[in-house]
Amino acid sequence: MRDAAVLGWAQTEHRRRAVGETPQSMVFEVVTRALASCEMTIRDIDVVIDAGSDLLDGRSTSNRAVIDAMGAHFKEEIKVAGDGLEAAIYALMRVTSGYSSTALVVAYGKSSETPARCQTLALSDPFYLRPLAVDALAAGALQARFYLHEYGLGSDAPALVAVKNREAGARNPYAQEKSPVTLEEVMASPELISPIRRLEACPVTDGACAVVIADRQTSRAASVRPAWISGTGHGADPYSPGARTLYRTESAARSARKAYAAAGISDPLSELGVLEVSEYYSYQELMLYEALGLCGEGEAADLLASGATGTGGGTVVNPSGGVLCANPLVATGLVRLAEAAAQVSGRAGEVQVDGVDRALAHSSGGLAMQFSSVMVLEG
Amino acid sequence: MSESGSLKPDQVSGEARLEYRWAAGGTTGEFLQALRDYRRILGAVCGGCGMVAVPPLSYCEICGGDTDELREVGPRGVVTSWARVIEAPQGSPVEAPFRYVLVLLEGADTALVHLAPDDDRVDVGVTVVPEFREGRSGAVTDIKWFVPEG
Ligand SMILES: [Zn+2]
Repeated sequence: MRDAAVLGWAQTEHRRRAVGETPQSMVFEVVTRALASCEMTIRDIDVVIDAGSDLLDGRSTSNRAVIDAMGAHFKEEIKVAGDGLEAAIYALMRVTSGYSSTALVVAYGKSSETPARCQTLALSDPFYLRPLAVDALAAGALQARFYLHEYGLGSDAPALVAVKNREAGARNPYAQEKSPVTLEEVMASPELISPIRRLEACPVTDGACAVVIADRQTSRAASVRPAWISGTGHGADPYSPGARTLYRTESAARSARKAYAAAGISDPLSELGVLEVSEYYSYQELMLYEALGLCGEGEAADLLASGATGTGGGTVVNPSGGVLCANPLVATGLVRLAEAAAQVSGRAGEVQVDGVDRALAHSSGGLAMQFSSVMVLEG
Repeated sequence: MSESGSLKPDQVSGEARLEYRWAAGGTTGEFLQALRDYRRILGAVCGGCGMVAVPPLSYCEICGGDTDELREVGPRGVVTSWARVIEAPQGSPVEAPFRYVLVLLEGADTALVHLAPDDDRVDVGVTVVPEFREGRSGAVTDIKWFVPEG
């Protein structure tokens, strides 16, 4: 399937607090740079599809006030209430249906402006979860223990994810966390909610990302090397954490199966050179190895320990450092797409992995990875 | 910096506070009433797949069927996961330290997210029972938390 491609992208240098930046100024910066990266101007864009958060912005229908910064005034524009990778899937549908030739995808999040844990506490329903103060961290901790217990793993197994990703993030000029950490430092970092420790949780980040997606004809004529989109999948699991088999992320597994079928992938471990996944907490990367078919159930810790997914491994997961090194909420999954596109087109700079023919981008959302999106890219 | 030595304002502060009156709906209302008035925990029996869901909804999160009836479950249950909290988050109904737990109540097919004391006996596989509050208001916090049986 070579019906659409990612042609250009840009992300901010992610920071704990972007002093002097507004959502609009961050968006304007990445849109300008993303268009320049594929030698386009805003006049070449048919539709703008964006993801932002009313809660983070403190303003209803948050896109309304950001629309000019995105260059979406005088154009078709659609807001997606979810991660930016979901907006990219929408853009893909637009250009493959023939409705648009080019789409600009924009996502941004300024988490520094409100109390961080209140942002995900608002994901909880007001009857059953919020009165108990169940936020993303609490739900994640319950899922982490469920997973570790199911397979008899110690809490050092996910800690190794943090060591791997922080080692990689040190090379990424856009990352927020740029210093490597040792296993001892991860294990000794304070418990946030057990079994999740400080160094195993995503940071609070301000940042934005923009991506240009185009149809086949435009992509073939482009002056840059396209990152072809060969498969995608998206899905959700039940809302209530207790109604799910929590040691699996079914929505990610279903999304991956759908994307792999379209891309003709039967053995993802040997056929994917890079995966950029959304591990908001370290244990999630282990669960995603299994959901995305890199190994069987309960085998992720062994796969990680083998080095196969680390620097120099055959299937590098999160060469950018992943979400543990920068979490521009809402844009987090779109950053994964930008990184995956950069890998297959040989434009990943300092974090480039040699010889990547195919890469996967993944996003998740909701409590304990309720929502998943996957996109497969080819050079 | 200007000649007067003053600093450029780099932010403005404000808040977006909204008061809500969220409709509980019939199913959740009945669940909360049973907690408050009878210290009973109700699950939703699905007319499609027969699954008993706790907490109950008017529809089934697994098969999409209608809820046929509400049925009492528990009060005993088994812990299927737990997580220790050392520093209480904003809005926490109990003081830290405490534990979040997933409890699979007797007669239920889905697990309830709730709280437990920070007691090392609270572990996967352990049987727990609810401790109800006095002065209940019709909220999921009418159960203070689940404590190890015996
Ligand atoms: Zn059902």
